Amino acid sequence: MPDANAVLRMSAAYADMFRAHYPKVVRWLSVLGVSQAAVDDVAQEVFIIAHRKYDQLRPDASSAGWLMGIARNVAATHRRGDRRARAREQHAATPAAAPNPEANAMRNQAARLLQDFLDTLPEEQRLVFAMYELDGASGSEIAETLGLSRHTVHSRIRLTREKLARRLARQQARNTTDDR
Amino acid sequence: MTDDSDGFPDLPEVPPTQQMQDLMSAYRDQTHRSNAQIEAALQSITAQVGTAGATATAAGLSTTAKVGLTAALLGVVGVVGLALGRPDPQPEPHAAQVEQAGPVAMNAPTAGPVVEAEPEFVEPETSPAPEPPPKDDIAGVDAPRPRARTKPKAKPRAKPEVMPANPAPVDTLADELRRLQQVRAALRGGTPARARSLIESHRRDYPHSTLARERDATEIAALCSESRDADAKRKAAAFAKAYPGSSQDLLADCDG
Repeated sequence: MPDANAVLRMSAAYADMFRAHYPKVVRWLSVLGVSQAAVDDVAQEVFIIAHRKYDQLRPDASSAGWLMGIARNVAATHRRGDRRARAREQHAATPAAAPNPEANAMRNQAARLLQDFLDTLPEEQRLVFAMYELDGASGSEIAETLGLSRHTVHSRIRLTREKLARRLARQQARNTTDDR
Repeated sequence: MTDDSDGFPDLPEVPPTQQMQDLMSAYRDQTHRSNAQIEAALQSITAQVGTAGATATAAGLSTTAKVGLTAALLGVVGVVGLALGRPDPQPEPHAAQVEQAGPVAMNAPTAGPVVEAEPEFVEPETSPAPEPPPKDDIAGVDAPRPRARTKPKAKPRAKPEVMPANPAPVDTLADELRRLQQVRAALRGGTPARARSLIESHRRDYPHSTLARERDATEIAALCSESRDADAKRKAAAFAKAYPGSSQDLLADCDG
């Protein structure tokens, strides 16, 4: 029987970690290709595993890096069964209860466009993208979390932006050429 | 790629274009979780792992409970149908170790998982803004970044900062999105014929649209709504050919 105070402390610390990282884990899983229909369930699995292994997390270790490791593993097992769900949800209606369905539809389309692009990138590059562009993490944070040099992080960010810019430009070029 | 050269002050900066920022902002919105949703997810975890550090495994996480959570978090009945239809993926990686120490509160009703699980507490929607990172950022990528979560709305057009090769109007995509959004609105509003005529004009204006797939899928849904199942099936076959690898269930609204 563990000391009750230690358990309580751990629970509070775990809850803090959960609150701080849940939104990020959702984004990481998303860029890794987990569908929006499944992402909350998958994030929950990540945190259940994290809970079970919580005492293995060294106090000085980065909990972001630790969670990301778990998230990558869990995402890999889920992606296989998840393709179909994702294809279907692109077709799914936007939430009926949502206050602004039109804006939602637009937002979903734009998000899907970006997801299509992310799907073409290697896993690590997606995660750098997620941390930098979506989480707003600094270069050093990303380097530490992913175990990369800052230089590598920098060049991944640059390459991804260039690639995305090229892709968007290509599409626009096609549109203008064929327009009317 | 010169990954290993020392220092990188000369690397060309690639600031995000307005269009990129729009996409990222949409993505951020879609994957955003409100405080209430985070708390609901935490509660759900707590219920499943038991109180006070007891261990439980995800193996005990029944599909019903998962679906309940999804429903609670998304509030989307439609998505529940999808989740139910989803083939349950492989046995969980950790399914082998079923340690069940302590109380494991499984809140997994067998009937009506959808209706259950409204998050009990609804806090005011204060979005947890991503904590601002320390400004020790890497040289070159310090370009302005969208920090705030902005809704896709009319915003002042930004100067196209990147890709000078293509001076195409930045708002092409915005216009496309706006029009497809009208299509969807028409479809939801029960006027599929209008939806299809909007689709036609969209197709005329953007024959090679980035969103062609979305548009084609919506068209099929519209045909289904009009009970034109044969046409819908024909289009669905063409769709499958045009977008190989897509397993989208386009005829979900048909039937038939």
